[in-house]
Amino acid sequence: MDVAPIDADSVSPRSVTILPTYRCTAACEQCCFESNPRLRHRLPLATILRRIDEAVGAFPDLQLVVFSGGEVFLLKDDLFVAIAHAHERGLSVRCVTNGFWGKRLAHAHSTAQQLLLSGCTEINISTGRDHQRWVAFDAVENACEALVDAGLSTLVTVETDAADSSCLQRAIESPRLSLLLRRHPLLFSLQCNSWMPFNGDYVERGAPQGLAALNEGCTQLFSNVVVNPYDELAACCGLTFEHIPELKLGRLDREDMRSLYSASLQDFLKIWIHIDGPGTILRKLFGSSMDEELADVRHICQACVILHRNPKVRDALRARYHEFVPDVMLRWHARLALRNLEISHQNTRHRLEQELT
Amino acid sequence: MKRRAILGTIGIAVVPATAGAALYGTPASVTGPVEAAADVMRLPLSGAQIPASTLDDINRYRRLWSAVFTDAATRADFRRDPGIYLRRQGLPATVLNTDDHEVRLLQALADDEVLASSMSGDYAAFLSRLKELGLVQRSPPSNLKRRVMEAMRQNLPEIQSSARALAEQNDDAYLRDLLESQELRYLYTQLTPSIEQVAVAAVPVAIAAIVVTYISVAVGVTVAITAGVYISIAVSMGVVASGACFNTLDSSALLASAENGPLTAATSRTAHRREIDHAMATRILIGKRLLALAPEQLREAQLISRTARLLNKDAFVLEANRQLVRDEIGAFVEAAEAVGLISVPPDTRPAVIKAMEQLALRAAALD
Repeated sequence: MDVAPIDADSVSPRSVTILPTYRCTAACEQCCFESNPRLRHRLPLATILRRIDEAVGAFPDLQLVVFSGGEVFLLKDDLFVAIAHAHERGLSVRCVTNGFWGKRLAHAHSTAQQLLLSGCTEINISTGRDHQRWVAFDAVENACEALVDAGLSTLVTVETDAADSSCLQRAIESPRLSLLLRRHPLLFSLQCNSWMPFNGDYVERGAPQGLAALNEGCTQLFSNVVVNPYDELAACCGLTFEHIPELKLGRLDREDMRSLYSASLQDFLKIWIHIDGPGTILRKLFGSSMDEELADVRHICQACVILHRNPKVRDALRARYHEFVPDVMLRWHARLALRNLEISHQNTRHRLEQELT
Repeated sequence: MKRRAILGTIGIAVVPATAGAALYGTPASVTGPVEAAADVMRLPLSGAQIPASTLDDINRYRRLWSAVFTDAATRADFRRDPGIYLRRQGLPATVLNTDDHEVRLLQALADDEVLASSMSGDYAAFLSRLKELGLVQRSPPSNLKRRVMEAMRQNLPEIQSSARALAEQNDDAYLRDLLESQELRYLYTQLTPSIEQVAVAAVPVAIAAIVVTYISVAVGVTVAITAGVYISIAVSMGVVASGACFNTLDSSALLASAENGPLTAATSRTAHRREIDHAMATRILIGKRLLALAPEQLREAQLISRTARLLNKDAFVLEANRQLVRDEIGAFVEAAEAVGLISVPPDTRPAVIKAMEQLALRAAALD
């Protein structure tokens, strides 16, 4: 006997992330994708547009398209065409960039105008110690000014600093960014993100929070899907997803997006990670001593790569997962029931509103 | 390399080992797609690993919760004793962990008193019942006040210098806008003497600076706390200058279309849409501040809002948001007084706070 498949209509991602290329103008030391200027592969424009249409058709709750990479502005005009395509289908659009196109202020302004005219909703700019070896902070400041001037919501994300850097402090004290923060608090904001190691050159960025701090489920799974430059569909856009074959759902040139997504709902591990998170799963499998053993974990995605790749964890998961199925599935279905109730209320409200108007 | 007692050192390292060595192997972003290997781990919800009885149970979970919502008798059974209800359905009561957030929420939604207070629109009774059910604790606002005060104390010179700089600005159009607000005119009469002496020459601007102190200081605090460092806190004019205080949207319009309405090319750039976006952004800012200053209070407000949404009770969602704004205003006014930034005349204090609340609620289209 099998578990009846969950109708893809009852669970739907709210966002699709499109990574058209891993090529980047930068080659950051701890980049999760090891992006650099030498990587050339990219999705053709026609494929990007087709995947947007497919996502709109497959997922009724879809609201947002995120274009990220690599450096997505290397797509040049294709990016604006793709943004407009998503916008015309009623979706919000966010682009994630390192801001290299802000090197000259005039070019930053013309780029911001193109983004606005294409229907872009929000820009996230990544900067910090590693990024600034390749993209000067001035370019980020120019880009921010131009974007806010165009009325585009802009978020700057700065890497946590190491002992030898003060990029965050510089961003905070930047007169140009401070002015934007004061004058446009609803359009502009600045935040600091955590940083995790990917290779042996990692320089410490503050004390790790440790596995003990990871108690929540993963909010990415099932609420987002990712199309990568090789036209594969992935289950999340976490930092380590290209290191975890299990997070690839399949190839979009062979199967449709909706089938691949629906199939992922039959994998208990994904449901478990979504409900409990990798930290809790590791504790349930090996006891609370895991917190001490993995006290140097810095990020939920780091715990996730350990969960998927460590041989002892894999053996334990395969041998014992059935013990946890009833509890997790009961809570999963409770979550689905609540979610469907919320959607049903929203739809009723919409219908009434439409009837009234 | 650190020795790991349980996981061992073989496999995935957590901390850097050899300089330059990849900790988790070469990512597929570099190698390109790898054909699905035989050892790709899936934990199927079928097959020999899962006993047939468990599979049967899982299929019943799917029907169980919707029955609780759609059938009054089922709901009554579940409410009386969730454990007995499950056993009657042939499910082991042990699967029901009542500490689980979703399960407690489901129990609240099946509760007669919660439903009755929702039907009658009695928010106080609704909140009180959620508390009795252990769904919310109502964190004391004192935590928020304490954290705001700490932040203000640490950044007082920057706040004062920013207020002075704003008072010296001279933007006629901007001042005219400010004076259109009844609340700001009232606050002017009440607070002027306390805005240091520099304010006298440009009182309306300085008053606005004070009014938005609570908003803008918190914006700075959000940055500071998120960043893990303290930064200079600037008093922002953005919220007032951008017209948010004079938002003409009412909350019902916002609820009807902001989150739920499809964003179409035809409506996305209309003035109405901009007002909605603005009010939503203001609400998001309130949430961001609370996340930094009193995350426990924000979590509870989110939980109350979610319960209300599940009951299709928009009025309660709005009330939960309003309460956050009121708590925040109270905390910021008290903190600003305590550090000597403003002094509110004792006899008009309630009216002053009320005026500030009105401005903030209007900015977020919650009035």
